[in-house]
Amino acid sequence: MSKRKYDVSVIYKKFGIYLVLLALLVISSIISPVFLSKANIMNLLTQISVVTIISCGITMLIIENMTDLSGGSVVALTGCLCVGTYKMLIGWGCNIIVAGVICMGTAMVCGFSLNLLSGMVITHYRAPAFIVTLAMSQMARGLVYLYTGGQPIYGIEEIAIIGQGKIGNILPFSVIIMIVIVSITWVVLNKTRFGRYVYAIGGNREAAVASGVNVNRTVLKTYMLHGIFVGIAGVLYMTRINSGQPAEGVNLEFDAITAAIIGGTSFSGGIGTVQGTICGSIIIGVIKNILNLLSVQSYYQQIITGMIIVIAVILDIKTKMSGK
Amino acid sequence: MKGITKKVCCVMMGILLGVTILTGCGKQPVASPKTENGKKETVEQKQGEGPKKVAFICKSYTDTFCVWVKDEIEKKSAEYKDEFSLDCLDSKNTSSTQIEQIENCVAGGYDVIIFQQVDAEAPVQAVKEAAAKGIKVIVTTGSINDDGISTYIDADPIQQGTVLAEYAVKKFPEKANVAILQGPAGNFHANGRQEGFKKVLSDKAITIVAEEIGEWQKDKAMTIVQNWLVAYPDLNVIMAHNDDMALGATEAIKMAGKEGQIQVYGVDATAAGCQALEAGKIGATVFQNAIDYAHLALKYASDYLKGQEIKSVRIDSELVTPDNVKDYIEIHKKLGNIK
Repeated sequence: MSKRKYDVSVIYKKFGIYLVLLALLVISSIISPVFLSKANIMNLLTQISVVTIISCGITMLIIENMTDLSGGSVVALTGCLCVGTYKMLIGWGCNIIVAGVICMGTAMVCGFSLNLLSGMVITHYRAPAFIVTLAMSQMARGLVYLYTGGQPIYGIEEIAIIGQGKIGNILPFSVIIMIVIVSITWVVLNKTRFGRYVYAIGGNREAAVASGVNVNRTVLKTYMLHGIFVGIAGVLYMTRINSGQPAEGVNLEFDAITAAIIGGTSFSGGIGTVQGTICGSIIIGVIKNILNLLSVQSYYQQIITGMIIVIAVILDIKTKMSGK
Repeated sequence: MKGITKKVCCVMMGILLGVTILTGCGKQPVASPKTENGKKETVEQKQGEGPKKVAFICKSYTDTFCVWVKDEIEKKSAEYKDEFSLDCLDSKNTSSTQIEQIENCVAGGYDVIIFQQVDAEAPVQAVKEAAAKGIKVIVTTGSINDDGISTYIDADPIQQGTVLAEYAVKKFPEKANVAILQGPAGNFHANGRQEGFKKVLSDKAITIVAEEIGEWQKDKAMTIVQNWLVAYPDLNVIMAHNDDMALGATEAIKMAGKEGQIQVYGVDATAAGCQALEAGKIGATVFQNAIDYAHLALKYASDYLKGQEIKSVRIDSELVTPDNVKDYIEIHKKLGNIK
């Protein structure tokens, strides 16, 4: 593939998914008068924030030809650890803000360490990311049950503000955090040497090695960054529902992977953008939201969600091919 | 070559680890004798000598209520330690795991199997096989469609739904617009509670504006209710099939700044549910007595092993309202669920 054709296909790819999103937004606003209300848009953004944050890291990993199947379990673990730590510190008479900072730090360190561990096994033994992160998912779920004794953690009052609070009663903190993380990912992928290495590794690993890219270190760094994001996602998830629920967060990683794939990230590596992923994430969020607003029966919701995702992907591939 | 060996090793270890974690606390099945005679002999032998063994298969260690029953059974089993030993297993809310565990317990020479059903149909065959080998099966917090082969100790979910709805309709605002948060599709308790809700609501000709499946989960319920609050500005009553979903609804109401404008009802009377009721966030809930379940299950096991007859029962659940919630909070405090 020549350099020029590659560029053209990428441009078409981007537009394809944006058009799908636009069409979905127009249709939704026509069939539901409340869809475009301020309250609903803020609801929608808070509802997609956790998945979007996880999908940022997952996009980078898929571009590198890696993946992460432990996202949901690690979210449960970091989230429960966060609210558990907070509750413990408050019990010791700690200042609210200090406790808040420490418990968020704990969650991030936890997400960071677990993903670092996965990354180390994957790079050191050249093990398949699929199986290693699947094993990590099991371990993280076991750890969170162990930590909580299988029981939800309640009574976390003040820290819930992270997931539920709003600035000026309009803009939720979770949306701001989501935007910050998306921006960081965009800068990392587009403006740094590390980002170019990420694309290089996914595009052609051997070539990347030959041109002096330290593949293992780059992959490891990606897992580390992703781990921090997952830690933050865990904090948002559990503070939003105002309790530490060890059994929740199941299959979050698949929502995140779906968002990345709808957004045009290629499973064969080397291709993908964070803005595409956001589109994918919003598309999934809008589908769920509009079906809820219309009170479509739950069984149909799953069928329709599946169908729209397939249509979105087909349209995306079609527009990409017409560019060639 | 070395690299490949390493890789293979690593994959194998990964798979091994995954499998070990998946099967978790499953017991090593003991090979069962092959001939019909052999089987009978083993059963007689084991009933004649050695300590008796009882297995308790919990539906899921992550279901607050089921774990509570398990904890009570473990605590109470100390009183029966001269009569039988008790082992607890976790079905992880999966029918296939539960069937395997029942089969393993049969092979492992247990005398009584007590379990909380994940599904009403799936374990029937395994239970029949257990009964054929002279093992008593007691089903608690649920029952299965096996034509009375097992003995059940169960609540009546229709009664739970009815008693709650009958109380709630008296408290409803003048023009009630009700939305219902449902448990998983096909779930025995969700279906029963729904039937109870609907019977009362349709008798009083009350409109149900929306129904969604919240899978028992707080997060899912919260998202659904957020969307409802936008779609139905007139919504003023939310009835949930369990307390976790009711609590999810209260979070969504709080975030929308509609506190006090919408009535919320739940079922289960969990510790968090009772506290929310006391704080006025939810209107009423229904208490399933986990302690009764646990104590009766062990008593049944003991009675059976002594050769006495045991009969299936339905335990009535109690309505918890702001007037009597203090008693239930006391129960939770005693249990250590509230500190």
